[in-house]
Amino acid sequence: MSSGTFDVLAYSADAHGSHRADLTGLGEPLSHALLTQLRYLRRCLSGTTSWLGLVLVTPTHKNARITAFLSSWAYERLWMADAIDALTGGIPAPSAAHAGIRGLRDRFAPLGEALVANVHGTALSAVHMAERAVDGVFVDALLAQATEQAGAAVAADLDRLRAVLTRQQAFFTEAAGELLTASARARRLAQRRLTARAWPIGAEDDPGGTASALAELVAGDPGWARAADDRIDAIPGLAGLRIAERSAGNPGRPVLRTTLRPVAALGRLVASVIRRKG
Amino acid sequence: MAFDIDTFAGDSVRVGWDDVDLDAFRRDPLPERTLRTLRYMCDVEFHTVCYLRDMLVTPSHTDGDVSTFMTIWNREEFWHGEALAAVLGVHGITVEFDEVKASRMKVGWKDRLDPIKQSLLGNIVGKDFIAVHMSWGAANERSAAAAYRRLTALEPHPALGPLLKRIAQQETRHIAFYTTQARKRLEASGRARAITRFALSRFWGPVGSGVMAEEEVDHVMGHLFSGEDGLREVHKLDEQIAQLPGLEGLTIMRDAFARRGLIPA
Repeated sequence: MSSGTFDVLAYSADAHGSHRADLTGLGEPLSHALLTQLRYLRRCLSGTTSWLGLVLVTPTHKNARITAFLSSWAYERLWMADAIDALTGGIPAPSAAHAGIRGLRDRFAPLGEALVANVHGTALSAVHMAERAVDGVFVDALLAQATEQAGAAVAADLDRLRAVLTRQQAFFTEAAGELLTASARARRLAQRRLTARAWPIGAEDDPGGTASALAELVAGDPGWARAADDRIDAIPGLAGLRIAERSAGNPGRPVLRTTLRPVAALGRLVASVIRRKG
Repeated sequence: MAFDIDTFAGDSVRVGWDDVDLDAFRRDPLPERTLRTLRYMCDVEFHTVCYLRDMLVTPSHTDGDVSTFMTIWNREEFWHGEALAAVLGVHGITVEFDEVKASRMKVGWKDRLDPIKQSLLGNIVGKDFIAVHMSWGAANERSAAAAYRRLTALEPHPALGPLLKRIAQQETRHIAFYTTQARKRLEASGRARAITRFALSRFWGPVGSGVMAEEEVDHVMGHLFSGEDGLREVHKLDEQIAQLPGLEGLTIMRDAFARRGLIPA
């Protein structure tokens, strides 16, 4: 039984649907940089069903509280993406390439995850919640920067989207914290998996777009990565991963390259021994 | 039956029951048999996420309209479960997150193997597998809507009827989507027709079978679809499914009921 205080039923009952009637910035001219940033955000927000497919093949789908939340979360994401579509004039974001090896990976990823799930079990739920909590930090930074670049009307619209995201983050952060705190295995798995992928979620499908988006973040606020990592560090078990800083330095690529992973694992082991002795 | 996904998504609301007189159930409680059926329906609605999972591991989710539909459909079905849980709650039957989780835990290995099986089939068959999902979904949603209609007819409780009618109305919109998609995809591909016909005729079972206990499936199907009126509904459902391209002559409902001994073979 979850000890979380987030009221999933209240959230689900109050999930935000279409934003179109409330948008004040429709038709407002957007700078090229802002348009590019918003289209990247649109892509971040629209990869929901692929991620859900990977999550629901694991024991996470048995956790009725989490799946109840995800049902409304997916609904809200759909409408957040739609709002950005509307603000950008309905020009669809160019779809990420899904051909060749990447296409095969996308097709077989759920199969691989379903098999791996039998090994990791419920520890994966902690990883899934942490993934979304971390992704939300990136998306929030992108939204915040777009808000600063936008005129007042579009900024007000983006602020409303941020409010929706903030509520979602409350759940993911709390759920990740609860599950990671409860299991050392989950913490180890989360550290390994979170550093084995590119950020934000889906970044590996669009390395060029990710590089531009993160470079814009750095240009707008050189300290954003430090601030983002501070937020991630606050999640139990995720301190010191420097996900944002490393992602900014190597956008669209896994936080830690495969060759460095054994070194990182050794480093974590040494650090945990030192902590215990201390 | 045309279907506009933008209109569907824009018009979607969670089913409401604030105006339903739940106290009427305290004054005039539902009989045990009906509560058992309602509990089954409630569990199945909450299990929609498991059906969603089976679709998301196949090429179905890469289609924009299908992806949007599944997002909205999953949320609407969740609220059907909550609405039914509210009625059950008045009768002292709690269906909270922990109870739903416990029932999902009971499914065991089948639940672990299903996504692997679906993913393999989806990858082997490719895009034509979407036609199977859409046709399967059409059959499921039609039978779910029929189940709500039958329960309304069998249990003319003044508070239950209006709620079931609202749920059935949303199921009707789901039928429209699945049927439109299935028809389009079956018309376009002989391979899709052959695979879908094979899958439905061999493997389709009443909604909830596979995740719910067998005795509960038999109870609910016997409760709702026995007798002359129930049989008529079964035949009607079969006729509707058989109108899809390539599915002519199929009697999947009658066959499934006959296999369970609920109607003569």
